[in-house]
Amino acid sequence: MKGLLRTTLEPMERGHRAVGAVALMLILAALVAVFVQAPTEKHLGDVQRIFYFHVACAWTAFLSFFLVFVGSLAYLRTRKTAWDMLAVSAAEIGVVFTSIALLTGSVWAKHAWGTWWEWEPRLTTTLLLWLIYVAYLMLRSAIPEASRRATFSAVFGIAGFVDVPIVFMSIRWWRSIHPAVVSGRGMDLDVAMYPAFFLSLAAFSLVFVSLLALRIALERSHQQLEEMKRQAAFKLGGEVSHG
Amino acid sequence: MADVWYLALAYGIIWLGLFGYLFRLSRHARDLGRELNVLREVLATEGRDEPEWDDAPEFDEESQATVGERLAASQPAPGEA
Repeated sequence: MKGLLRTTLEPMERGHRAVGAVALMLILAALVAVFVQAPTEKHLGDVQRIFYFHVACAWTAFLSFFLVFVGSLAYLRTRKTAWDMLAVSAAEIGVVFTSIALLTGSVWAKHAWGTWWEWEPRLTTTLLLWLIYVAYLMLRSAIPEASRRATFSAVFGIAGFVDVPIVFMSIRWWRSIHPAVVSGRGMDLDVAMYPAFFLSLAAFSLVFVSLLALRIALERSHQQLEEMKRQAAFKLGGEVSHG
Repeated sequence: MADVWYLALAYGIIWLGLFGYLFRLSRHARDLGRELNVLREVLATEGRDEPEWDDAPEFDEESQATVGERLAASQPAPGEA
């Protein structure tokens, strides 16, 4: 018990710290690339530099929701709580990155389109994606029983993922004013912008890995603590009733 | 000049979002640590820091509430930082 108590709350293990440090260095390198190396776009000027981190946040959100999908499928198949922990941790991080992508996109839109928000396909489906995963987290907090919560949210996590390819394809399927980075012709981006773009993607992917590791460790600690509380109550209760 | 303002706003949102989330996670970890310390104290007070779970007796809801109340009392009041 003592050993378990000691190890329960040590989420920031050495490996997590190493990934976090590399992520931080990559973020700094990406910032240098975005603000120093990347050329200024001739139409949008410096505001175009929002693009690098905005797209990286959207990419990270997609990655998160993909892991929610994988974790949910695996949970329904195996019933192992580790998969549920992966799903809920990825969903929470995905909501954070979708929020950032929506807000930074809105700042971009104000400059480029003259309005903070436009009900066009990409923005609307992204807002829908955000609402789906906020609902996912709300659903979890509304169900107290662990296995029922995991099952319901796994089904929701799988169904919710349907919106991710819709968000990605929305600018091809419908008339959209949102710029397309990847089109049928390939990358629609100046070659000189590639280093800043790919460095930002790599940096945010690693930030995601780092946050996910930390969030899963916290979720595991939380569940272990709940189990220990239950066991302590059970044991102490027994002493009282027997005493 | 407006360019710089929009740029600063967007990057401000990014840092606020990332550091805000990190702060939330660290607060969660701190709360877990506090709960763990209280649980440890409760077990020590009851003279069972190393309980043996194999011979677990019947479940007693009343005593569970007692441990739960002690843990709840260790939590900050709503609105308390």
